[in-house]
Amino acid sequence: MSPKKFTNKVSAILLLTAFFSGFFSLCAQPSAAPTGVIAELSSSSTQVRHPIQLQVTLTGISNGEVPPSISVEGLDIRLYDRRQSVTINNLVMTSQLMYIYQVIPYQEGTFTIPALDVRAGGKQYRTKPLSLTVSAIAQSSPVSTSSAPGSRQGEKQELAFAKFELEKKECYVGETVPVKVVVSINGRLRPRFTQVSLLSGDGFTHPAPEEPEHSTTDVNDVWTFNSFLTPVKAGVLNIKPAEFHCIVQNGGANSAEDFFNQLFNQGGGGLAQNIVISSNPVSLNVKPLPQEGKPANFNGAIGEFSLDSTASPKKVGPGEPVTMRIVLSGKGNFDALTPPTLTNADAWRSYTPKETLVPLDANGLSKKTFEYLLIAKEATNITPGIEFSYFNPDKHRYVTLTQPGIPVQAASPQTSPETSSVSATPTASASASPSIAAPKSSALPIESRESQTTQSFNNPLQNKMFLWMQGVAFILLIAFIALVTVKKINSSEKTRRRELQKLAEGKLHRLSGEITDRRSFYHEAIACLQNETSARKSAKLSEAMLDDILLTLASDPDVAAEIRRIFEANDAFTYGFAGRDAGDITPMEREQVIDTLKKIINSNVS
Amino acid sequence: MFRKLLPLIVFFVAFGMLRAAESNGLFSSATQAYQGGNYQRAVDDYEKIVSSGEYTAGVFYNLGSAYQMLNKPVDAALNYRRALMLSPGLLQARINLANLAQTKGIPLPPFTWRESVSTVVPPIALLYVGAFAGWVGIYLLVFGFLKKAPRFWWMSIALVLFIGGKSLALVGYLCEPKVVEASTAIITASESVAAHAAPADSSANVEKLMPGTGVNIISNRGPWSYCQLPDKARAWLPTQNLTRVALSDSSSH
Repeated sequence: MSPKKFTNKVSAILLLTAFFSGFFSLCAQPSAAPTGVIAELSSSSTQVRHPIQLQVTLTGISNGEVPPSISVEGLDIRLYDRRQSVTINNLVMTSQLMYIYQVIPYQEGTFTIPALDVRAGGKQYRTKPLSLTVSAIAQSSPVSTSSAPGSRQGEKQELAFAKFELEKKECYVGETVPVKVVVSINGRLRPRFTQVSLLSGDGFTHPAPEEPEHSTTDVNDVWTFNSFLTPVKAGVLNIKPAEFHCIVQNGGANSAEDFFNQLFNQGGGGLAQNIVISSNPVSLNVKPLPQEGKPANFNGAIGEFSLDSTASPKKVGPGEPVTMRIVLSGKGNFDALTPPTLTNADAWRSYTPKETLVPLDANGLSKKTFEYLLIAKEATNITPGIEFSYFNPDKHRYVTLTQPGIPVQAASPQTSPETSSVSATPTASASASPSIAAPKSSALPIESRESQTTQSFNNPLQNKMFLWMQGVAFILLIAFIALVTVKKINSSEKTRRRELQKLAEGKLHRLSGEITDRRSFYHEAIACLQNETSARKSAKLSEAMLDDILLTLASDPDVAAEIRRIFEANDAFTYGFAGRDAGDITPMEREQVIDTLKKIINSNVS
Repeated sequence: MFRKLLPLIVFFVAFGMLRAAESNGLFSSATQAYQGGNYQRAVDDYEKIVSSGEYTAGVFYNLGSAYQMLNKPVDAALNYRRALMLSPGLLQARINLANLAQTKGIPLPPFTWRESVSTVVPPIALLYVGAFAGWVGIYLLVFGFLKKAPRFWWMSIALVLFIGGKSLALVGYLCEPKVVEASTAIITASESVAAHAAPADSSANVEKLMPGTGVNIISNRGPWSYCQLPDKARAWLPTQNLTRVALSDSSSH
């Protein structure tokens, strides 16, 4: 690119930049729009406790001063938001500043919101008065609440109320009385509890407050606290009002639009305020429990209960425990319930039961389980029975629940040999063994005779004696197998030889008389030699060749020479022309061959 | 040769008798202290016997009783469990342990079939008898196989002895507390101990375990032990808060 072209391009860019800058700077003059202050209501009519908005719009003014609240009898008007917007219309930019008040009516009637004085840009502006009509809504009568310190005196607080409800007005000492406290707060206030005092006063006990149930209506957030109290003395019980300390916000973001406005604009979120909501005080007439008809085993249980029990296992050996579970369920003072009485429990040793309380379920019923560990002192076939007495406040009388024992099979505890000196009880120990210690009356029985054999925590498989025994047994087994195998092999070899000898003797017998033909004679003699060779070599019967035969049988040179001669004669009679007419064997020749064969066979047998 | 070894044999026999006498003396002294109500002295003397390695199930049982009288339920539970490990049929230890669980809240492992067996017959006896019967069965089987024509009844008896014996030995082994609880440890801290997800104090707490709770130690890493908790979950516990139920030979001496 030439320097001239480059200079022209730069000049053009600079000119365009200057043009647009000037254009936008002209457009951005807010003074081009008209200025003024307008106040308007989001609705000219509403209902009691239904909040509406009062919006004060400052047009063409970048900043202004408005009062934080507007005093109108019957209305609560507070500033809770500030928004700013800029619009460009036909190259004219308009800025708007909006101050938003929340108007909460708490009286019905027609109200006039007075004109507002607004200072902006060194000038004083004034809005027009506005009229608001408030009508009543159908709602349960609220309980008055007291305002927090610092709030305006005389201001009514029906926007939030608490109601204390007792299920009954009269009860007995020790009876559990359900309590319900309902707190209702206008949803726009977005309350947050900081302190809750549900039940206070003298003469009763109560559990720690639990998480309340939360629900919402069209207007209010409602919290329901469920609890109960237990009077500990007779007389009139005055329960102080429940108090709920909470922080509320005057206004806030309930919708998506509000949320984004709060996020991007200045202000918003409302003004936090501490308030205390108090309920109505209540009283309860507490009567003492009647002495008439009071069972001996009554332990203060008041309410309505049912009794159930199980036992497991059904069959136990000596010293093994049976677990008996007794379940009391119903409504009443479960916290104060003591274990039921076990009846006919002479055959059993029982220990303090383990208690498990399952609090109120959806039906308002609680359940307490007593888990007894029972160990039979003697052989028995039934668990102890159960007896439980309580006072029914609705029927105004005492009730005793009984349940018979559960059939089980429990063996009598036998003292094992290694624990012979340990007794179950100090009294039993005296007769069980002379070595039993006689400790102090309250002391546990102990073993007074020490075993002479020291014990070890080692794994039994690491016990050297055990390992040695296993090793010896294994070696003996291997030796046994080897011995039997060798024996068997020897035995089979002997049998085989015996058979071969029998075969050889048969052949010798044939050679001695049956065979007369010379050719057949030598052929049979060779077979006899081959047979013997197989027997000597522990091999299968085979057609052994001359060399094998010589090597196996001919230790004597004379015998070897004779064997060679037998083979030559056989070959001559088998393959030569002489074989066709060999004639009969002579007695001397027969005797010579048989002698040689006998010598060979007998040498093997010996 | 024998003459050379004689002094050595005499020395060892004398030393052994001396130790036995000393141990017996301590046991009597501890028992007398217990009977006289001096439980602390009884604990000291029984602990000395344990330290010497000359312990028996009875020593641990008595030690547990003494600790229980001193209102030290965790130590009592530990020693009762040791006594039961050495002698699973020790009925009174089982009763006292159950009593501790009920009155002091010392957690107990669930009563399993293993304990049911071990309370009836000593597992070690099952193991030895089973092993012996198994070997006899093997011998008979081998003998039967090596015979040319083994008799059916012979082989049947051999097979029953072999399978039955080995099964019995296996049951004995599986029920033997020295095997089952070889890696069991008890939390002996004075307060509840937090089980951690990782071997670091800053790691998340898995759960809180009460003193006396039994856990199975899987492995150790520095001051931490990786354990299986009673609910089968696995977590890290500080080793200093754990005491093994089984004493090793080296730790006792």
